[in-house]
Amino acid sequence: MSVSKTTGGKTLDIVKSLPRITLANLRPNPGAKKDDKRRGRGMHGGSKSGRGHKGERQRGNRPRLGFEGGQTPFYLIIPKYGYNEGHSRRPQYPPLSLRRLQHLIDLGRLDPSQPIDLTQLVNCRGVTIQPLKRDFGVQLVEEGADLFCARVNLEVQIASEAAIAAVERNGGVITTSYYDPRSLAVLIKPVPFFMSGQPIPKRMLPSEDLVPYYTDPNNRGYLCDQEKVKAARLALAQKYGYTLPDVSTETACELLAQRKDPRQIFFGLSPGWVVNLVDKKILKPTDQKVLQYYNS
Amino acid sequence: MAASLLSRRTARVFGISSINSLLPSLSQCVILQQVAGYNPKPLRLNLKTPYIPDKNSEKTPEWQKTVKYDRTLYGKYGAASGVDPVKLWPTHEQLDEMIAEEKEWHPPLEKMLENIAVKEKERAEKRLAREKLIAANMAKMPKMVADWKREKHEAKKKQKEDKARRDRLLAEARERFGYALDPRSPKFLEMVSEIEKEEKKKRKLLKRRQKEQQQGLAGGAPPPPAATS
Amino acid sequence: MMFRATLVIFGRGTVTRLMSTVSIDSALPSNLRLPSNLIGVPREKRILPSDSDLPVLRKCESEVPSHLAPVQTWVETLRDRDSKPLGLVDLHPDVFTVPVRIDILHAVEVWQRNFKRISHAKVKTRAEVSGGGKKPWNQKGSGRARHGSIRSPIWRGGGVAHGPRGPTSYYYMLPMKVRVQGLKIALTSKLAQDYLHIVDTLEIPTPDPQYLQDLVAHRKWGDSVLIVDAGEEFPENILQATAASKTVNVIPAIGLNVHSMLKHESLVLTLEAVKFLEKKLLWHDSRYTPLYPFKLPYTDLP
Repeated sequence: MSVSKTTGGKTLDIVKSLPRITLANLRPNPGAKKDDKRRGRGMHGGSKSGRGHKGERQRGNRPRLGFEGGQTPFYLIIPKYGYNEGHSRRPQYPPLSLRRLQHLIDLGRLDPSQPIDLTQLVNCRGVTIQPLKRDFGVQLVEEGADLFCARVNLEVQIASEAAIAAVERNGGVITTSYYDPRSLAVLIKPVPFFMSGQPIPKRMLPSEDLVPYYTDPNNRGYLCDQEKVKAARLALAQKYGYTLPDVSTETACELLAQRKDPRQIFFGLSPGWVVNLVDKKILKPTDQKVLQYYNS
Repeated sequence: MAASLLSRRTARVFGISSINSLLPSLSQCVILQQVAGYNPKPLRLNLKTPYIPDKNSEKTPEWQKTVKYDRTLYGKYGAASGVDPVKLWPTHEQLDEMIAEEKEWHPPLEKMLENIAVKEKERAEKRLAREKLIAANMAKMPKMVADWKREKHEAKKKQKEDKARRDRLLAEARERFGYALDPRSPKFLEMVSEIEKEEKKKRKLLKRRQKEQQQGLAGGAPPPPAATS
Repeated sequence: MMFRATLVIFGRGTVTRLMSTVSIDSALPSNLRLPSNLIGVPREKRILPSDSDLPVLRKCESEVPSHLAPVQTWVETLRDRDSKPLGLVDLHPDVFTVPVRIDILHAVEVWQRNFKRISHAKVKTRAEVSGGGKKPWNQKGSGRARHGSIRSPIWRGGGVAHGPRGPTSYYYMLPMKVRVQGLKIALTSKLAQDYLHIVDTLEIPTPDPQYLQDLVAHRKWGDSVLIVDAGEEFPENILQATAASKTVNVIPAIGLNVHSMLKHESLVLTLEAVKFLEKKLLWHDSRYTPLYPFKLPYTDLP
C-alpha cells in the first residue's frame, strides 16, 4: 500500500471512479438511521400496541414515583435528615489539578511569567467557570504535585495544603481569594464586560462563613497579614521537608510580588475605571462621590 | 438570481447611486429565478456606520433610550457614539442607593471578624461548660461502678439462695407426699407455711438454749438488754 | 475510469446509452448505481498536472503540514473560448483533499433544507370546526349510538384527531465544525471528480450570454455551472451574461454552500475565491473554542 500524501486517503481514489456526487445520491451511513416503530399497525399490534393487557400499564396513568399503592411509602416512613440541605445553593469550585496546570504551562497556553489568575486560566481554556451554575472559582488540588515544577504567581479560590506546598517548593506564590458572582463573571470574560461600557465593579468581601478561610495564613488567604503568611510558608516548608528558594535577589521577584487589592478584580485596573476597547482608552472617574464609593 | 440579490445587497451597503451605474440593464430583466439556492435575507445590518438611535424619535424602541444602552453604545463605538462619558458612571442618587444596599448587606471586614470572634467565644464557652460537666461526672464514675458491681453481686447471691431454698422445699415435699408437687398448689403452700412455723419454733428453741448456755457460762450475770431485742 | 470503461454502448445515432454491468452493480451501494435508462454524453477527465512547465500562479498562503503535499490543478481563463491553461495553482490539502464522507454531505444538505423550513400545514380540531356544541340526540332511548358532538373526529365533517398544528419550525443547527467539514468535502469531491475549475478572474470580453454558453459547452463543463468569486463586486459582463441563465449562476464565496455546489455540475472558482475559502475554512482547524460570540474581539484566536 502506497502512503497517501493527502489526508483524503483511500476515499479520494474511490470517489474518482464513482459517478458525480449530486443531491440525488447522498445518504446517511448504512445503519445510522433507524425508522421509528409504528405502533398499532398490522397483525398483532392493532389491539394492544405492545403495551400489555389493561390497567395502568396500558393506559399510561401510572401513579407518582414512590407511591406504594396507598401504604405509607418509604420516603415518608424514613425521617428527614439534612444531608442534602441547600444542595442547589452550595457554591461549586471546579477542580484544577497541578498536573493540568503544568500541562497548560508546558504547552505554552499559560504564560508563567505573568501572574496567573482566573482570567488567564479561562482564556487558555484550562478551566470552564459558569457563575450561573453557582461556580465560585477553581480549587487547586494536589494531583500531580510531585511533577509540578513551574514558578508561578497563582491566584485560585481554594487550595489544598499539599498543592500550596508544591507551588511554594518551586519558589512560587499562591493566594486564595474570593470573588463574588458578579466580579467573577467580569473576571472570566473581560471582553464582553468592557464592551458593555460599564465601570469595573468593586470586588465584594466574602460572606461571613468564608471569612475565616480567607483570613487564615495557612490557606494563603488574601485578607490575612503578609507577615503571618511568611511564617506559615516557613512552617509548611518544615512540615513538608523542603527549603524555600530565595527569590528576593532574582528578577522573578517583581512577578512574585504582584498582588491584587482585596477590592480589585484585574491587575492594574482599579474599580470604577471604564475600559474602552475601541478607543483603547481607560476612563477614570473624577467625581468625588463616585471615587469615594469605588475606593471604600 | 444570486447575482441580482447580491447586487441588491451591495447597493444597500454602498448606497443607491452605485446600482444604476453598475447594472443599467438589470432592471429590465424579466426572468428572475433563484437557481443557485443562495437566497440570503437582505442584511438589515448597518455594518459600515455605527447605529446611533435617535432619542427624540418615536420609532426608537424604549430600551434603546436607556442609560444601559448608551453605555453599550459607548463600549461598542467609543467616543464616536457621541455618548457623554459621565453617563457611564452611576448618578448620585444611584450611588446613594448602592451605598445603602452595601451597608445593609455587606458589613465591613472588622465587623465580620468581631462577629466571628463573638461566635467563636460562645462556642468555646459552651464547649468548656460541657467539658467541665463531663469531668465532674467522670470523677463520680469509679464509686458508681463499684456500687453497681456490689449490688449486682448481692442480687445474684440472693437469687442463688432463693433457688436453693426452693429446691430444698420441693425435695422435702416430694419426700413427704411421695410425688412431685406443683409449687403453686395449696398443699405445697400449706406445707411451706408449716415448715416455716417449725423452723421458727426451732430457731426460738435454739435461741433459748443459747441464752441458757450463756447464762450458765456467765454464772447468773444478767444478759444485755440489746441482745435480746 | 475503470467504471466508465465497462459501460456497454448501445448505438442509437449519437446518443449513448449508459448501462453498468452486473458485476459492478453488485459492488456499488445503491445510491451510487447508475440507473439503466440514463442517457448522457461520455465525459473525458482531464489529466491533472504532474510534470508541467507552466508557472505556478498561486502558492498556498497558510502552511502545509510537512507530511502532506499541496494538490495542483490548472488555471484557466474566461477571456477567450479556446485559450490554453495559464498555469498551475497549489490547493491546500486540508481543504481540497479531505476524506470524502457522503454521510456528512447528507447531514449538511438535510440541515440546509430543514433549518429554514417552516411548515404551515394546519388542520382544524373538533374545537375549531364550527358548530358541534349541542348533543345531537339523547344519550338513551333513541336506539342510536351515543354521541356528544357532530364535530367529533369519527364524524364526517368533524375535526381531525392528530393532524398537523402548524406553523411548525424545523430549525436546528449542525455543529459549526460539521458544516465546515461539509464544505471541505464538497470542494474535495468536486476536485477529485474533475468538476472543479480554477480561473484567474471573471473578466469576459462581452456581456453576451451566448459567449458563456459556448465556452461552457466547448470546455465540456457540463449542464450547469456555478461561478464563485470573492469580494462584493462582480464584473459587469459576467453578471449580465448570467442574469437570464438558469444553468450558469454566480455566487459570492461568502454564500458558497453544499447544496449549491452539489446541485451544479461543475464549480468555477477564481483565484481570489480559492484564497478566501482556504483562509476561512482552515481557520476552523486552528481556532480555539469560543468563550463568547465571535463578533466580539478576541486576542488569542488566529
